[in-house]
Amino acid sequence: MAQALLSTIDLTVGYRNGKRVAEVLKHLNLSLYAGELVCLLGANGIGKSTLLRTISGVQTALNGVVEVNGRDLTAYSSKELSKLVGIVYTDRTLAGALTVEELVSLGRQPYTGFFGRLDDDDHRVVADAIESVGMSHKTHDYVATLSDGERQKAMIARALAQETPIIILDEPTAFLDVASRIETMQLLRQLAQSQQKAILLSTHDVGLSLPLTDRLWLVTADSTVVEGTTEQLIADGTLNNLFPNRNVAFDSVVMDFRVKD
Amino acid sequence: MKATSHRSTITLIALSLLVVVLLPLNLVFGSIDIPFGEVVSAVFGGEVSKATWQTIVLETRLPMALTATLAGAALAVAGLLLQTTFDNPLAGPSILGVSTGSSLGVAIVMLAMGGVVSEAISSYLGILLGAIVGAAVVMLVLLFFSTIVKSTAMLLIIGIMVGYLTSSAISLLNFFSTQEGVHSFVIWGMGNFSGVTLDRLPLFAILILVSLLLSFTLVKPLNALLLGARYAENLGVSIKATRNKLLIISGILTAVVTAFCGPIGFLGLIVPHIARLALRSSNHTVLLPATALAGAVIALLCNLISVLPASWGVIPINAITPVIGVPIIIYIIVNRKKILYFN
Repeated sequence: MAQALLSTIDLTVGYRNGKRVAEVLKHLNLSLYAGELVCLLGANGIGKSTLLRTISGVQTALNGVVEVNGRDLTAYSSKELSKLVGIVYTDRTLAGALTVEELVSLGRQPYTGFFGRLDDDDHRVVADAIESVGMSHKTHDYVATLSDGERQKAMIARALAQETPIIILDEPTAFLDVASRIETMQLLRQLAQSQQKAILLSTHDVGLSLPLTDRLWLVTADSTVVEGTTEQLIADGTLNNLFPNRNVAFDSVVMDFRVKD
Repeated sequence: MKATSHRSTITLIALSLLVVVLLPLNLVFGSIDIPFGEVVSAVFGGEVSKATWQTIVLETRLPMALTATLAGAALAVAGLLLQTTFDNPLAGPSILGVSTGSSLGVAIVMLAMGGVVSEAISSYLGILLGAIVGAAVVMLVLLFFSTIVKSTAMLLIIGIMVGYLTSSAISLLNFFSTQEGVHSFVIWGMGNFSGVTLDRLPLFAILILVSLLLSFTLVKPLNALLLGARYAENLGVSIKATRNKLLIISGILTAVVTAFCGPIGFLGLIVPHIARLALRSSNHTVLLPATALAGAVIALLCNLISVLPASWGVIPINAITPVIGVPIIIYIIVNRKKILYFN
């Protein structure tokens, strides 16, 4: 197999507050490859966001190393990092009075000069990014007038315009209706394949992610993360233990959790 | 983009024209009636029938109009920088306590001088220094709390509280000072654009223009900040450095205006909204120049209104700005669901 774009070596993530250390997820040895869509699955509040923040360089690791392109993440400048890892959050923004084009153009900031002026090449990248999320007809619309699903697509286009080999999305389907959720997942899978991006997203929506994801990063009850294909993780029972103390069990026929018999 | 940029161009041209129209109007109208023709000849060095008219136009009205133009632009831009930095459209130099901090600095200097604000350079440089130090102290307090309090709304409330504390310190100072001291401070506190005389105008203009130019170098990170600090960071923006630069520039703009014109309320808060509503855009590439121009327009308008009573005297600026500002703020709050930049 090709070299991983991103890998973690005995990574421990969590928070350090003075002398107190709170380890959230421990001993992580994970990898992310170009052209694949990986879902980080786990219960709410188990540390998915902490892990995403750490491997995107926003938060420092408690222990271990994150490598991007075989080089320690902390060795990159923030400028270099902005061309390697693009992030999509579900944060509220003040971008309502920007057009979709202006919003997506912000993704070009790592490449533009002092005043952020776009050249022909930048304009082409922005137009392509908007086109590849299927929003070309809304190019000149204000972000405020978009539906939640469209807004999420625009934010994904912004990350695409950033031209990073890795895109990380924190709960991208959290506030969407079911149709938009499926569309977003399909879009991300198709982008991973057609543009050879490594796309990692966190979700707790098992039923939606299993049929569309290439591989899973599964947060287990003992505070670590197991990686593998859906089939592997069903076969070895890891998936069944996703919610260990809850009254649910994994049903491998419907590919989702249901109430325990 | 086509429609937006078209609207931007029209808005910027319209605002520039308003400045061009309002500036001469500010020279024509005042407490003394001077015929229009005489004003024109006074400005262009022609024959003026009365020597006092020439003095009034050139040494009172001209510096006053230019001061209003610069002060309006400065406060408006300071407000915009603070609104984007704090990710809160209701932030502004007076709300965050920055103006009040300047006031305290000025109060200390003025009252220490016993209310004798002389024409000496040391006197107004002292006031300027007091205002800058006062604004800086409030900015430092805000910066300190911004490392502890992550929520910008909570930070805004801390700013308001700091403002109250500062006001109470000013009241205490007034209580213990001489009557002359209190009088000159109260007059200064009402706000007016006549405090910058012709010989002080160059210093005032240079300080304001340099700070405004510096703010234009921050357009790119300001736009990134529209997405919030986390996105801006992912785009390679150094949040800490940018935030510090924004606070320093808005602090200097506020302090310089406050030192010369008094603590003028509302302009910093409302003008960025007027500019956004007119442009229908929060893109700082056009929003920043539009805000500066709109600030100049509103300040010139306030100055014009302040001399309306003619021979009866001059209305304090701070009696006018709330009349313009409050309806706009209420309009914005009531209509926030329909206003693009809130959604």
